[in-house]
Amino acid sequence: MIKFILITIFLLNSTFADEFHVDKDKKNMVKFISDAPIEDFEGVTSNIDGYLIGNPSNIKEDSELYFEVQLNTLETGIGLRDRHMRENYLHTDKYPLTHFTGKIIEAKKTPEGWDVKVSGEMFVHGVKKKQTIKGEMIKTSKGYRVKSSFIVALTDHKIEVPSLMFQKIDENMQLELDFYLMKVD
Amino acid sequence: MKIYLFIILVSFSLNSIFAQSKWKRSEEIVEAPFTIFKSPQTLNLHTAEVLPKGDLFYGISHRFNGPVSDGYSTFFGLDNGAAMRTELAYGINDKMMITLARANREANHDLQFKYKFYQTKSLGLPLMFAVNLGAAYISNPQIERSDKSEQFQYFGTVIINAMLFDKLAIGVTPTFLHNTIAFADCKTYSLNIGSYIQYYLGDDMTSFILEGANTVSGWRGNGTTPFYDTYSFGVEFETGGHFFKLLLSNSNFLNQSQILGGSPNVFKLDNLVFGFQITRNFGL
Repeated sequence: MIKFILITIFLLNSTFADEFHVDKDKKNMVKFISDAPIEDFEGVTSNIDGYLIGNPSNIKEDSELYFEVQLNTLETGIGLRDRHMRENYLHTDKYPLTHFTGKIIEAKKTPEGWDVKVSGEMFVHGVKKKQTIKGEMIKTSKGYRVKSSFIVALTDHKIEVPSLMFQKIDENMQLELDFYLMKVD
Repeated sequence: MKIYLFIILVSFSLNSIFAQSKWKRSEEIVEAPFTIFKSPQTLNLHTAEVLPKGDLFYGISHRFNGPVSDGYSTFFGLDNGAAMRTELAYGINDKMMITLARANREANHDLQFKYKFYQTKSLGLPLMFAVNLGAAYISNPQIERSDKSEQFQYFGTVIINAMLFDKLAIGVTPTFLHNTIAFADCKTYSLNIGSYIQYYLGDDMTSFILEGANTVSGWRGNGTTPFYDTYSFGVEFETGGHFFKLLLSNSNFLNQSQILGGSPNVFKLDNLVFGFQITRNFGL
């Protein structure tokens, strides 16, 4: 009996989850899209960092993930609009980071990798909010390429929707992610 | 038995160790650069702010010639024509900008260079310092001069800005202006102290501006047309790409070398003219 337990534990150990970090050498992209009066915002940055722990043969099992984006690196193409986005919307002087922490709750094998659903807490503008996000993990030689697109409601994160001449920006900000993970030893 | 238990425990603890991430943030947290004024200008004067690096800025300003007090008969002064200024500016880096402008009055062209040389938050409030240096050429003076060099004007401004209570931006801008009036019989100059306050409403993109440009020494006009200090007040709307400014002022002068020389109209209700400025930033 004891032997059986031990063997099981060793087997479990041998299927240890792998750890993947954001590959900073690759072309990572995070895009924040917001509809505003007169100006639409499309803030782009390559500054995403973080990790995913998961078992490549069953990515859902014992999974854990954390990703963060430095909001002061967001660029909209016009310097004035960058300032505006930082100062009027995201208040990056107080909240320079946005991050998501959670785990994979659903995973479906695809020819390329995995279709996953993650659940966790999204931290934006100093406010945490439970969120479930769908994503795609495409197998690469070093790890995975991750793609995801989802909506963050500004009001959920106490971002006051500024008005200009009675027009308001869209309460929903769309986030698009496309980044690379590499396995670390 | 004990040894088995020990092995089991070790295995579990190993498991929990392995579940911990080895990840560390690879870059330091990028701090937001601070600003005091959002715009590089108030209504007529410079703030210590410069354009963000690589931003191209186009602006058009009008000051209507008729006073608002004329009422509906001249559509509050708008029927009487307008003084106009067009400007193009560029952010060389996050500290320097260059501006080229033309005002239609006497065809005054100016070239200005602004340098934000110091900013700090360490003295208890955000402070920003800049200098603005400019040269103007009057290509169509009221009186033609034989010596063309007399159609040039030069000016230098020191700009000190501070932010109070997160919402009230204030500034002082002492300027020395050489050759205030190109057609004057003698050499003229102006020592002008500009000052302004701008109140930003919450996260709204709206703010209110009061501004004065006071001559403390130099040109005050001649006997028949005395010159007075200029006061302006207005509202600014910001969109992230545009600034819209609407104002009332006792001066309809526009270029720096004109506005800093004073106004032929004294500041009183009957002399206020309407003006506006619309600007747009482009990314290059």
